[in-house]
Amino acid sequence: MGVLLTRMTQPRFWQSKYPEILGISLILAYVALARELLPIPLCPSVIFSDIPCPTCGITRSMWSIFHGDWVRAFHWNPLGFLAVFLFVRRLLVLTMPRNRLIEAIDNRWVNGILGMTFFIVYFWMFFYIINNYYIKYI
Amino acid sequence: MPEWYVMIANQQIGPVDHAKIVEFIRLKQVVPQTLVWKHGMNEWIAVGNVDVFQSYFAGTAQPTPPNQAPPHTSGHRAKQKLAGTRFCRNCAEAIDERAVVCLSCGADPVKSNNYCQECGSETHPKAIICVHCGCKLATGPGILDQIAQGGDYIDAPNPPRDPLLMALLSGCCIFWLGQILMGQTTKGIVMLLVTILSIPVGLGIVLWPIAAIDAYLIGKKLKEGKPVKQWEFF
Repeated sequence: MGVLLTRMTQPRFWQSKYPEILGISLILAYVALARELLPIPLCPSVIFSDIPCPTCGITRSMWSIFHGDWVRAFHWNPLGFLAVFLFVRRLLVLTMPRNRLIEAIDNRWVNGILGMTFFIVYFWMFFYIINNYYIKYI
Repeated sequence: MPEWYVMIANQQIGPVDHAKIVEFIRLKQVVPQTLVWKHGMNEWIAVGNVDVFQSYFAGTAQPTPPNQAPPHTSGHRAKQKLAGTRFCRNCAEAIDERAVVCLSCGADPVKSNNYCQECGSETHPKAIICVHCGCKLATGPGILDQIAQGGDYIDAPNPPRDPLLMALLSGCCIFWLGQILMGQTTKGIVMLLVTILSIPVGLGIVLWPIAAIDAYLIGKKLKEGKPVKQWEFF
């Protein structure tokens, strides 16, 4: 424990892969194991203006995916599926040697399709918010 | 006694002693055409023409006649360039095209002017176009110089973060989080505060997609090994 704390004080530690592995593991453990999510909004947009941001609902969506309710997950936020895939893939990339499985899920084509999907869904949510919250709010 | 100066890859090395030059000959770093000089000589001469070294070249190429220019100054020695590689402009060794330092000579691969980076042919020091392949010769300060002069480049994480994941995190609850995790800490924190403060007046909403796109493009740059400044956008 002391060694870990000593390492954490060095800037190089925060540039390495270990905080990333720790962070992703904690997020996945939280959404997979929690019986209920914390009822506190984390998004500054919701806190300051009651308007959700395009990624609001991803935590609830990931929680629903891990608890088997995929339809509700889609309704919370479609980006939840992408987030689960990206988190799991990143965890595998960081912890396993490069093998066929990782080659199949982490290549230029997959990244291109995921990137397009992400930005299409992101802007879909963005304009949905503008139509349904922002214009009404004004 | 170290008294000899040797010209290897257009770089003057020395003073070195007799035994060191013999060692260079044994390692084939010095060939009969390599130029050497010591105090008392009027000009540089090919080592193959120096009496004390001639015996070490037994069985190798014949020394160049004094009235003929050494072959390596005559120019063309085009090489086969592999995909994703280029030649070091200092020593003509094949290196990764993204390399900032040549692993063979340790020099900045674009800072020197001895060889063409595309075909490996020797070039005139003042040339801007390679006369053998016609490409524009890479010049100017290398990335290391830019980093030394510019100063404000970030210390990128290793291994580089996933650009898409960073885009997701930047467009997520803590805006600009991706930039903070990639090393643009000052920019990330300042932009996060700007975004949060501008949400109530309606401007923050414009910054959400900008944060996501910016994180994705900065992440891609870092993944390609390019240097990124602290306040660089897109």
